[in-house]
Parts: sequence; C-alpha cells; structure tokens
Amino acid sequence: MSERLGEPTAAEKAAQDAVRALGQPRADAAFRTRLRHEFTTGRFGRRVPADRPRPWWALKRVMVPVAVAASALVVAGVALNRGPDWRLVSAAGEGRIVVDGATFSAGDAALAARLRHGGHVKVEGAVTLDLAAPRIAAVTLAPDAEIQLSSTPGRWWARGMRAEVASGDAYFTTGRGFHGAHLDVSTPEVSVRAVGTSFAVLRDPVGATCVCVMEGRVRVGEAGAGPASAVEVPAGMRRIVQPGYGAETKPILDESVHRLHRQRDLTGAMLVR
Amino acid sequence: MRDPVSPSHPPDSSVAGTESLPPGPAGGLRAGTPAPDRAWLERVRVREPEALGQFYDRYLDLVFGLAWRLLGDRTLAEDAASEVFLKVHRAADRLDPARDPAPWLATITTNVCRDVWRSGQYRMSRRAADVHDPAAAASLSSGRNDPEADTLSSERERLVQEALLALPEPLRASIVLHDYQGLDHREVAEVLHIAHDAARKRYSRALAALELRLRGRV
Repeated sequence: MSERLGEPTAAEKAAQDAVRALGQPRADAAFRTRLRHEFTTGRFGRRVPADRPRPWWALKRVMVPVAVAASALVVAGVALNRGPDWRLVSAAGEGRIVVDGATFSAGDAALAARLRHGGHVKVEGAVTLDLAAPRIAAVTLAPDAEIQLSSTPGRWWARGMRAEVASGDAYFTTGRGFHGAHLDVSTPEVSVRAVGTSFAVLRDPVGATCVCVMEGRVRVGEAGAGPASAVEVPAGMRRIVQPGYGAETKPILDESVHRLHRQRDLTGAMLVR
Repeated sequence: MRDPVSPSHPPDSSVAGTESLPPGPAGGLRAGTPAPDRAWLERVRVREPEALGQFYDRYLDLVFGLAWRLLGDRTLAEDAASEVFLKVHRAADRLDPARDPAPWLATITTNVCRDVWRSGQYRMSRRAADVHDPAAAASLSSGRNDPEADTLSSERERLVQEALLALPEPLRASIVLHDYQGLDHREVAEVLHIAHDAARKRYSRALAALELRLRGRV
C-alpha cells in the first residue's frame, strides 16, 4: 500500500463522499429512554459483563466453604493415602547405623523414629538391620549395606516404592498389602522391578550386582536401559550383572535363601503372608 | 498511560478545523454545530440532572453513530454508548467547560470501541455479522416518501458499511473519525494516540483500501 499523502484520486474521492454521505444511525426509542434515565440519575443498569450478577457457584459465600471443603478433602486424602510407616524390627550386632547423616547405635531408641519414612541408611560394622511396614514389605540390610529407601506405597495412588542400593546386601519381601503396588530397586548396574516376591539384591565392592529371587518373579535390566531389555528372573534363580562382563543367570545362592527365610521368619506375622 | 476520559483536546480543536470537512449529521462534530454554552457545561460538571439530560440529548447520536460505524452492530453500539455515558457520568467533574466536549466524547467512544474490538464477543459477532439491519435501514430513511430512493439509499449504506467493516480496525477508525465524524487529522491523531503524520499516512492507506473494496459497487 502506498504512503502517498497527496490529493486523493477520483475514485478515492468517491469513496470519501460515500462515507461522508452515510446517514446518522439512531438508537431505538426504548434504549434512548432507558439510557437517558440512567445518565441523568447516575443509576446505571448493570450491563457490562464485569457487573453482571455472578453465577451462584461464583458467590463468595459458596466459593469459600467449597474451597475450604476441597482443601480439607485433599489434606484428608493425602493423609489417608499414606502407607504405614517403616518399623524397626531388629537391629542386632556391633556397629553403627547412619540415617540421613545422623548416627545411632543398634540399641538407640531414637533410631526407630528416625527410620519411619525411610531415608538414606548406612549400616557400619557388624549390624544387621530389619525393617518392616505392616502388611506391605520387609527390608533387611546386611552389615556394610548402604541404601536409599523411600516411604511405603500409598493406599490408593502413588503405589510405587523405591530403594537404591549403593553397596552391600539388601533383602526384600513383600506382604499381602503390597498387592497392586510395585517395588523398584536399583544399583548403579541394574534396575529391578518386583510386584510381589522375596528377593535379594547383593552389590559387591567391585561393582557387580546379583539379584537372587527366592519367590515370585522379578525383572532385571541394566541400569539406564529400557524396560524392554529387562530379563525376567524366576524363583530359585539369580541374575548377575557386571558391567564389561555381561550378565548371566544361575541358581540362587544358599546364603541368600537362608537370609530371606530368616527375614520371613522375623517379619512374616507383620506382613500377613 | 493516558486517561481515556481526560479531556485532552486542545482549545482550538474545534470541529471546523484547518482541513476541509464535510457537512455532518446533527449532534456530531461537523461544521455548523454551535459551540456549547459554558454555563451549561458547568452545570453538567456538577451533574445537575436537567443539564445532564440536555447533554445526553445533544450527544447521544454522536456517540451512538460513531460506535455503530466503528462496530457495525446495533447491540454492540448500544453497549458501547452505555459504557461511554457511564464513563462520562463518572468523569463529569473533569469536563472542561471552556471546550467543546465533542472531541472528548469521540475519544472515549473510540477507546470503548477499541476495547470491544479486543473482546471475544466482538469476534463472535463479526463471524455472524449481518450488516443489513432493518431497524437501522428504517432509521436511515430519507423521509422523502420515495420508497425507491430509500431502497437505493439503504443499499448504498449497506455496501459502504460492509466495506468499512472489512477494513482492519485501525484503518476503519481512521476513515470513520475523519470522513464520517468530521475530525481533522490532528484530532484523529489525538483520538488514536498516534502522531499527526502517522494519522495522515494511516488515513491515506485506509482510503486506498476502502476505495478498493468499494470499486464498482457504489
């Protein structure tokens, strides 16, 4: 479009004339009368959208109680959804237990409270630590094990539970209330998904991980690999993964079976198996 | 931010400005409209009901007509006129009795229409727009008792209004304010909050675009 500012062309003049010849639209009589009354009295009808009567659900006296009730429901839902806390079943042996940087002796009464929601747990010395969440799961940490343990699965949502074994041996057994939840255990080498079983995850200092399955089935995959590459390990077998040396499946070790049986004997009543 | 209801026009921004202006409708800004009485505007300032009624009678057509030409819809124009008079009532004490309030009203009306253009309601109404409003056509009839002439006039009105509504809003405002409302370019610049040169250039573009849309139709 040109930026010409000179005289308009004849056609443009005709367009100008057409606009200038436009008539004066008049508002209808009812509108004129109503607006005149509003203008002279200063009492304008509530016509603009912002001034329209608010729908019943947007009224403050409705919205505030609804918001409070909704908040209370959310808080109650979150509270009720929480799974049971971890309980300290036993801490036997000489040594220390470090929970999120705080150090406890095996007989320390404060240890149980500190372990309720999981956390970073390191067992130093010859201590064996047994934890259980009623009906949900039991975890046993052998001497020198180090693990990051999540809180237990929610009752209705957030049904996952995680454990990261940094080093040492950890034993897991799930209970009746675990149904529908899943347990993901990882080490730097492997990731394990279980949906109800007894198994051990043993990580040795040279960086190999052995997953020993006494009951049920678990899927074991290399850390960082997709779930499609995971291998299912049946009961009575173990899967050893060592980066650079591949992976192999062998019969379960007697030592693992022994320790898992011990765990079940110790926590079976709590897990209602 | 400039106050949309502040009377900001200069004292010399009278209707018959420095540029040639067409004859206009009653109550508008166009040449021939007598300057309002200062004492009367003082009474409007203090919201004296009788003065407000006279003010309304004098300027409703200006406001409604401008809104109609800018929005192309009777209901929207009524809403806009209501909004304008609400703003005027609220800001009456800021009215300068030394100046003709017509350019001030044109500014408020244009600002209100600009808000309407930005609204979802306007976009919806544009989709379903029917420029031919029988009520409007009736109100625009010449009163000559010549049905054929009235029909032709109404059809011409419709075509011109259609062409105006087809223009982008800034161009439409430029044409309507200058050619329909009778403001000179300086006043249009003030109403649209743009520079004088920009107002002239915009008008030039708008006129070319309008001519293109009207070519061979009127």
